[in-house]
Amino acid sequence: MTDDDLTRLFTETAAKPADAAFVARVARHIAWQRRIAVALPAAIAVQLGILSWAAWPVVYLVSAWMVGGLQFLGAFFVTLNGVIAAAALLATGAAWLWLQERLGDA
Amino acid sequence: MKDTLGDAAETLVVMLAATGDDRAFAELVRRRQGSVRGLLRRLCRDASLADDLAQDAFVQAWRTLPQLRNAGAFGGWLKQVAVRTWLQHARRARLDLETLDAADAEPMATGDETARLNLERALEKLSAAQRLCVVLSYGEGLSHGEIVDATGWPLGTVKSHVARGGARMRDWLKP
Repeated sequence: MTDDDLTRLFTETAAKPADAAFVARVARHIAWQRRIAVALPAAIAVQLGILSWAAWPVVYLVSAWMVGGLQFLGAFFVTLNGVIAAAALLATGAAWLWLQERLGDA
Repeated sequence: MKDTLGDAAETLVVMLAATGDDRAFAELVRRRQGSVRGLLRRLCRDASLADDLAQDAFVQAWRTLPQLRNAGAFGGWLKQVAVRTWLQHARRARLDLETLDAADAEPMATGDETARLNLERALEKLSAAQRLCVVLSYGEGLSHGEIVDATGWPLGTVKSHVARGGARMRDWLKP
């Protein structure tokens, strides 16, 4: 068998699978990648914005109370700042869901 | 729109896709899926895995298409993307890409087996690196230099893989 014979064998037995399902599958994957690329930074930006707004009072409380970490964590979520932090997390989740829905319709 | 793209020259479709046109990119996937999936099926020996890698290669191509300077070189460039995707998989799967010689194999049986099955069986017996170089050289018609570009391996290594792998294939597949 020569080099040409081997080349011809490759050419003659080449599989060329083609179907619309594969094209749709790639399109779905790309749409998902685009969704993540847009939604994730937006969600992080919302979270950082709200948390930075809430951060100063937290720092103030920590320095004012001068308590240990565990005691602080236990008490944190019953304070106004704890409620704000929890609200920030909820708002981030809501923003994520909203963006997903909006981008899903696009 | 779909019909227009279906009839358009590939260079035009590539340029359109590079601007972020999803329909144009879908048209490129439709046109090129056969060759990319066929190449990866020969490298993977597993059609399902090959299709997963082909999907990854097209997504990677979609991300980096704006960096392609010459739209006319899209076919070769896409082949390189597919090869790199397979190489990444091979490294993750810890396939041996260093070994020069594959294990010896018995000559292929003839008779009731088809040429295609024989070819696939012979490819399976090559080392991963030899298989890649043989498929790119004999199956895809790439030059040694183009294989170097696609794999990032030294020219001597590529030449050695093509020569040794090709000799083994010819030996195993001789009538």
